[in-house]
Amino acid sequence: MSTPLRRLMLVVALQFLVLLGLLGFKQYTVWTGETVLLAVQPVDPRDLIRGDFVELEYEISTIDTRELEGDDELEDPTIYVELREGEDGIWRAVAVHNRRESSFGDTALIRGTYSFDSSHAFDSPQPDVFRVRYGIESVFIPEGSGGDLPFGGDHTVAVEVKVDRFGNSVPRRFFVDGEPFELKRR
Amino acid sequence: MDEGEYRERMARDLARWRSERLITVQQEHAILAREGAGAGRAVNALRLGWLVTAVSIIGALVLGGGIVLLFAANWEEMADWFRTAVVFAGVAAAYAIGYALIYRYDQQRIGSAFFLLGYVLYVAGIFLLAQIYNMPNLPELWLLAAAGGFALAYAFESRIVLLISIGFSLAFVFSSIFERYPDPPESAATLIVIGAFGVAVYAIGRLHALRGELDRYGDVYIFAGLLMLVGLIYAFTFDEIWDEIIDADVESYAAPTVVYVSLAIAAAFTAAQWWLRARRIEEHIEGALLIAILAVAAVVATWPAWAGYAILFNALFFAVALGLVARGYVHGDERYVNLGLALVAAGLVTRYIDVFWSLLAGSAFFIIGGVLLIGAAFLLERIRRNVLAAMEPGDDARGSARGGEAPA
Repeated sequence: MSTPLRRLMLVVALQFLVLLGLLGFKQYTVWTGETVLLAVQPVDPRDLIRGDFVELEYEISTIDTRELEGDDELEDPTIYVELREGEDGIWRAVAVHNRRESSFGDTALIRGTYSFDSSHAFDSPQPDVFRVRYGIESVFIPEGSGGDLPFGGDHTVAVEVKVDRFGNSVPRRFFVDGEPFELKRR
Repeated sequence: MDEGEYRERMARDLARWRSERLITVQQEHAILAREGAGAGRAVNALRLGWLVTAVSIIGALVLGGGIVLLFAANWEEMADWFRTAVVFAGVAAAYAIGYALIYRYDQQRIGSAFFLLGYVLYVAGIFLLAQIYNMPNLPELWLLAAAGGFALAYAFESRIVLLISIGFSLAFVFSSIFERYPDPPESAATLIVIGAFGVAVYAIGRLHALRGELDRYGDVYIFAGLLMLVGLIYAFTFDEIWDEIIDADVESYAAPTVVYVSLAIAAAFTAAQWWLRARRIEEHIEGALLIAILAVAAVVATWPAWAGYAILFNALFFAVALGLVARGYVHGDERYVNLGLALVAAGLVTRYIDVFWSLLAGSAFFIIGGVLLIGAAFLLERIRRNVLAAMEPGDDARGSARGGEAPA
């Protein structure tokens, strides 16, 4: 094997490794993860569509540690929110933890990063209400189909999310009133 | 290699040796004539070669963009397995064609363009695969894009891929710090990280020049580092930034740790290259200037509320610009002279607009501005020609006295 060909093979192998790693990391969550349904609402209905994805705010995007079990004081920005399925099929936050718990029965742990407005940091260094981002807030949709999602009114819009045992999550598809909702390109 | 390609290669090598002051213009022409090429024909061939390179690169980027747009537009209709297969097949095919063109058909330029296309498809693949899983634009994706590019650039000596990879590294730094510190005043302080990154990249370029086999990558780092550093200094020349900090009553704060860590890393690289290569007075001046810039950055990060910073950064901006002109003159490198003078012109135009926009009526602003610009252009061109005339080859004694270092 000539030297240039060997070099090229190494470069291609490295790049494929990166692509496969990216693929495998997320596919692992899809294959092994617990399926949870999370209620969502658009951040702002008028700014719903940015290009071909929707920016969503989940019900679990805002957590109040006073209403949840688990740790009262959050330490590292990375936290684990414990979810349990409700009677309506929607999974909701029941506890918040600083670290990943090893066993949690009928619940699922989703990893997020919390933040609070730093301008109030000196007044209230440990507030009770946090904004949490899980990395699933942007969901890509077919071109021009964002307006089809029936936000508002009596409909419950949810996103099916896969959550693996490490807390990684991948949003998969939309549900409206408990039924899968397929968006079509316009 | 046929006769035409040989002459083109010879003309290109001769031009490089002339720019490195190894031979004079007269010697270059004499060699070309000796080989029967004729100076005019060989130089035309050389220029045509560059045109082929430029057109190939543009072609690769346009083709890559078109492919990405084609698949992006139909992405949602494709099955996941097909999307994945398309990404891998596209990257592999582009590299395979590039390899065949370079090593089987001796088409270096076109083949290199296909390597660039392969890299474009690799980067696009990262973001398209991320889209399958609804991943947000994580900073780490830029880092993965840069990693693949650095590997390709060093394996096949591709300076354009290296430049793009440095750009992706900057995107990683930029998006990382703003994701971690989205709110002022920390977000403003972390801008300094970009300047520190620029100094570090510049110093890495200087370190590359110390090793013969890496020398060809050095000026890419230096160019990229300069752009980042000068860009940030330019942004800090406007007093609006400092007024906002003063209005917000931020008298002093310790910037996030990442700012001081990045300044320390940049200082370490600067000190390393200074220690290893400083033999002459201008290298000491350059090293001292870089360290001074980092020191100013540390002071600014810690005590940002001072209205005088706009004046300080204006002085720094023009000092860097004139320093580039001086460096270009000393090392006989026209590129530094042109870049330095372009920065001087940009600085003067900016300050003219900044100061007189609100003071003069619209027509007077443009008339006076136009006259001043033409006058400034005339003056700069005279300076440029004088400097370049002083750099003309033939003054071998000057080159020898400076140690004969190749220009950056």
